[in-house]
Amino acid sequence: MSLGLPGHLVQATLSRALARASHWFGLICLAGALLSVLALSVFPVTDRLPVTVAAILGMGALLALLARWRTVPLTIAYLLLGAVCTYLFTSAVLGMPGVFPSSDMFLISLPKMALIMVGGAGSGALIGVLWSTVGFLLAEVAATLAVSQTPVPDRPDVFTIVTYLFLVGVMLLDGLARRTGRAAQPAIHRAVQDDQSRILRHDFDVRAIALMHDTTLNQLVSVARAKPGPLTRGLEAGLRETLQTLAERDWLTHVDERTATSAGNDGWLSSAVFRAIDRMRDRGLVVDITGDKEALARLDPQSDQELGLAVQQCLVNVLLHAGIVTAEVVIDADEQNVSVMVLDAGRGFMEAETGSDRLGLRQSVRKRIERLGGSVVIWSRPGAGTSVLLTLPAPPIVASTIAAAAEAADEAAAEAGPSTELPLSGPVASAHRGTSSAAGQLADKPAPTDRATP
Amino acid sequence: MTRRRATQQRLDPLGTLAAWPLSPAIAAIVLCYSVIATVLQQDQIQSPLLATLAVLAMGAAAGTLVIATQPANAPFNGRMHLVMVGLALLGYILEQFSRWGGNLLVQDDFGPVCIGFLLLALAPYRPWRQIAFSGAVASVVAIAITLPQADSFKVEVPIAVYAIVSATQILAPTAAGAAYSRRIVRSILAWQTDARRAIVARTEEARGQMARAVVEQQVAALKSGVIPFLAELLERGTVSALDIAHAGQLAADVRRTLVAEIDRTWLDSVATRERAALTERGTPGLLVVADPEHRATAFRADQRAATAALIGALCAAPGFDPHSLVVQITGTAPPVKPAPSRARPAQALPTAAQDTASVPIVPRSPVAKPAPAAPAPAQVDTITIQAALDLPPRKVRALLRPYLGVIRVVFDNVRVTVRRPSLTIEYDSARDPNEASAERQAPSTPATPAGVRAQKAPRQVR
Repeated sequence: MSLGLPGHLVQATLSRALARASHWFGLICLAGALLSVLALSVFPVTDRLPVTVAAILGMGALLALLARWRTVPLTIAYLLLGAVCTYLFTSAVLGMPGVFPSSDMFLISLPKMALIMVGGAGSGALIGVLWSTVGFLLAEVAATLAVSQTPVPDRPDVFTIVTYLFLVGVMLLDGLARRTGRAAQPAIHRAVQDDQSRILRHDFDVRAIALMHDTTLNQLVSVARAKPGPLTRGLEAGLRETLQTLAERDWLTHVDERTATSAGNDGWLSSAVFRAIDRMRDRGLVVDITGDKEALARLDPQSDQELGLAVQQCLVNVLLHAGIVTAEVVIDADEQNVSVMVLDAGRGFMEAETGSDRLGLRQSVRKRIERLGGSVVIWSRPGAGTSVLLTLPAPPIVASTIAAAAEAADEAAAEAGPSTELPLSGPVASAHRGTSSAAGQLADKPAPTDRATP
Repeated sequence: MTRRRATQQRLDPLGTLAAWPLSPAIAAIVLCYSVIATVLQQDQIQSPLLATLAVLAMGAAAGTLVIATQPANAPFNGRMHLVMVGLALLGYILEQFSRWGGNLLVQDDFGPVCIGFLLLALAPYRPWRQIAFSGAVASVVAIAITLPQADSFKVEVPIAVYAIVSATQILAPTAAGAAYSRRIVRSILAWQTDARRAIVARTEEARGQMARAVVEQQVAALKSGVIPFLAELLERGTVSALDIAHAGQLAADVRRTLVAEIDRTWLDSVATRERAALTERGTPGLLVVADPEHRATAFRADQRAATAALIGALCAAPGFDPHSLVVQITGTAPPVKPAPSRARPAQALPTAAQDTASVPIVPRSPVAKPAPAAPAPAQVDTITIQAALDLPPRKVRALLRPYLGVIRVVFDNVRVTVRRPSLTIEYDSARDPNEASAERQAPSTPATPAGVRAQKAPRQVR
């Protein structure tokens, strides 16, 4: 299946894969360094040897930890310990009298290259370059310091420099290249989806044709073979049965039993919210929808349109900022309002940290909804995801019977509270707790450009 | 494709297209480094001939990398992998022999570094196990060829250190490449699992709408003729000679419609869809599908999707002549048996085929006779897409690059000819005779509950 990565996952995925590659490169370098030190200890042992071995082992352990949890503290710890280790290793190895002619030995480069391959926290190309540059500078300073205390002449270390430049080049290429050639991904995603729909449609067609064959065609043939005159009893019964089968409901049962027994949800499928979600799905976002979808049919065309655009903007924000695969949309309704909540378990953001340019949520979401007399509430916190609750007034449809209203009331009761307390997933529940102070004043989510800095 | 053999290139062809510039860059580094190292270390070289051959072999390995990673040659296969690694190892061995006895330093030999770089460059294209294995083999060779030269080295350390230096130069980049390959493949597979689940859910959402549409379509077709006719007969209670003739006529019409619908393949649906899209854009067009043998039914899901996406991209391209698109499927051998996925009323339906024996519905194409059991050669379907696109060839290629990138991974032997304004794209699909019926996928959300499905092959409508 050629379902490639969608645009919003490319950066994080590549960054993880590159970090993993860096870590393995570094681990092999450290293993080489360790083995070399052990091999060299056959020679007259320098007194710093045990310290050097310990330092390399510690550096390797930290790197293994970092490979597992790419966090900022571990990254910094690795860089600092790595610099110390580089110093100890360089002075121990070059300190051996008369063995190495100069400082540009591959052996000396090993811990330095491991330090460059820090593959630190964060998922942007520039962050990766930054960590590696820090690693490079620390390695060079530590090594130069160590070399200056030995009699060996200091020469530029080509291996380290080339490794650094190469790594930076790869990271920048991956950072830049994701912008090109990706435009076709949604089209291919769409094609896979269409193909799946076509298979189902084909299956339905087959069943419809079979039924058509069994009823209509059989009956027409019987008539064609009958003798002129009054209908025979058999023929009459056959005609009656065929006409009955061709009654729409019956036919639908033959084509798809599940559709025939379930309530129609065409109101949902024709709503602008559904279309907005569908567009985002083409771009590779997995959207789970729960709640009372049919309630959207109560919105008038304008509200429906605007709500669709607002939901789309919320989902665009998830794509641009959350760095995750899935979002959840919960639709709820009471007698006066219809509400849509867009939840993600992504990065989240802090209201105070957002820039002044907040066009995304302010214009596309808040203004839109408020103009129609609705309201927007946002909860978010770094690391705890984001939830946006959009509520629009929608009078109950007159045609909908009391039973429907009672059902809605039942649902509301089942969810134990007003629409703001929807059945929430974990991260949002914590968002509630975490931002109880911020929930009063409504937060604005920044415009996409705000947080685009990788 | 098995999970073990999965590569980024096969799973995410578009992502690999983006990473492509890396491979010529690495090839250039390898070539330059081997030349520079040879020139700078002339004093160590004992045999200029061998040294030249070494550089040539390493250059050939770099060239193999560039050629094999070219988007036009995708996907990177195992044979090219072997050729590249073989040439690189040959270059390394020749280099060592060219300076045998005069080699002063292990670390400045270009062999290990170049092999490391080349294996690193394989990361998006080859499975991680094969990258790692190649690296392991190369480092064994490196150790074996370095240790005997220990006497000539000017740095006096335990010989283990020489081995470590040469092996690390190979192993560190190899491990990085293998780790990248493994990690990215896992991420993409995880995403695809999510995506597939989402696609199934999404299809399920539209299920009711689709079923209703199918019924509506059929009912609409009958409402104009058949239903009123039968209702009137029933009401009147008698049959006239005219009714009998009319019934025969209607039966023939219905049969013709059914046969036409049965013969429709996914490719016809794609063409219908694109035609509708063209009309919507205000440029109604004529899209021709020529597939008399219904070879399209043998295509796999990914092949169907990739072809549909390509056709869609062509139809939406600027400068596309809406009357120009022709999609044709031909093949080497006639189908061995009628494609089983074609729509036929399954015999699981209880009332099927009771009284219609005298009014056979014959498919448009004659049913092929069962082929003799002799092992037939793998059957190849060739799809040819022709269109007129009034764009400079360079732009046409840029426009189609991502789609062709996917096509190349799921089909074989892709040929593209651009002669403004005509564009011809041809590609082959080899059918595995053993998989002919097994690979037909049921829809993820079948209309029929699994238990109700007929286990036997569906029967011909007769």
